[in-house]
Amino acid sequence: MKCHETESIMHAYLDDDIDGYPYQEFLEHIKTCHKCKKHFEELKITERLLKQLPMVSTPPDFVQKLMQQLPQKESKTRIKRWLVKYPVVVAASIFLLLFSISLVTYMEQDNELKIVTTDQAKLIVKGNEVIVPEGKKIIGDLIIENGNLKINGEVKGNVTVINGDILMANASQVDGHTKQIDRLYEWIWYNLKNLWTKIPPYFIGG
Amino acid sequence: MNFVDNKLIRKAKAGDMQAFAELVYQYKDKIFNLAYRMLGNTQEAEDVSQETFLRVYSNIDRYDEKYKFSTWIYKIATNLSIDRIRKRRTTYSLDDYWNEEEGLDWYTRLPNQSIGPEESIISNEEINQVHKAILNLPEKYRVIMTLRYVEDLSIKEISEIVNLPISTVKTRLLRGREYIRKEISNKYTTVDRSGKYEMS
Repeated sequence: MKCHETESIMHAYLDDDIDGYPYQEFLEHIKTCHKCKKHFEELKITERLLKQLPMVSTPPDFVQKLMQQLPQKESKTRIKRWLVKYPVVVAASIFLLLFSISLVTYMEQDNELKIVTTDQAKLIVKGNEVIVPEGKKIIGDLIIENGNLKINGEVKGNVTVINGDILMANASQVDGHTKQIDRLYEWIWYNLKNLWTKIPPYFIGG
Repeated sequence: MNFVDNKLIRKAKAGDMQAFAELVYQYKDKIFNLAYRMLGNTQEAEDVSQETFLRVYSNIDRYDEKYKFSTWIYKIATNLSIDRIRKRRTTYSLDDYWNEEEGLDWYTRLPNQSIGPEESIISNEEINQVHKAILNLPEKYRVIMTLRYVEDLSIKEISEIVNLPISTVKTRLLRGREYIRKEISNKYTTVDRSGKYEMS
């Protein structure tokens, strides 16, 4: 064995990992090579000194100091963590909750005729039929729930009929869009599109 | 994998301050000693150790239980120590931070019972020399030597902490030991058969 081959064996010995190294050959070598033997002895001393580096004691107020520095966790932390971890789930659940509340409210409503307009005085109501009389002009949007709408006059705005039909002589009688909603899923879609107006302001951008 | 650690971590994650404090008690001495041997003085060692636990506290949600907690905390502590050394290099001159008194400071804090009669032949001066020799090593060797000899970790765990292959860790250990051997062998010239040595 050559002297330059011994160093890696010495360190493998210190790492307790001499498998695959010609350790016996190395031991034979250092019997006769004073230089390598000295190197090995010095390394073993180094190893021993390194292992005997004493533990230093941590300052006694270490934990106290640390605990004082910790940012105070608010009671909301858990909810916040949830929000951060599952934003989609949280958003979906809030949506679903609001939605089912409004759906239930809707389902529980009776089938009473409802009219939303700024110009109610110009309308004629017969049973569950609402009529825009000939020669009359409704300014603004018109929403009819649970009834039919008959337009003989004019509407300067959007017309929406929920759970009913729209009857009109010709399309030019309505200035804005007309919408007829008479099925549940359409009602749902309608509400979806208008959801943002139903969300209380603190949910938006909050 | 340490079961006790994981139990505490789960509690700490849920916001249990008592569990977090227990983790601190379990690791404070290890982290403080690591930082002390990396930095060479108690003041900076304390700063870095405090910062380590603050990071653990604020990032505990990101700790992945697939890995050992010790690997994770050692990773934080070694990175912070190296950052501190690099920052110091640009801020202060060598003379400013190397305080000769400080090197001896740890010895006065040493609990005496930790040294048995057999080992007592090793003098303070020898230990102090090893301490200084470690501090003269470039950081990449110093980290490995500290994890190996101060923290008594396996080569495998060291390789996970520093994110380097085992063969690289072994090479750095070899160079680190050779450097320290040369530093101390300048002082000791005679070595007898039993491995005991005398001052020249």
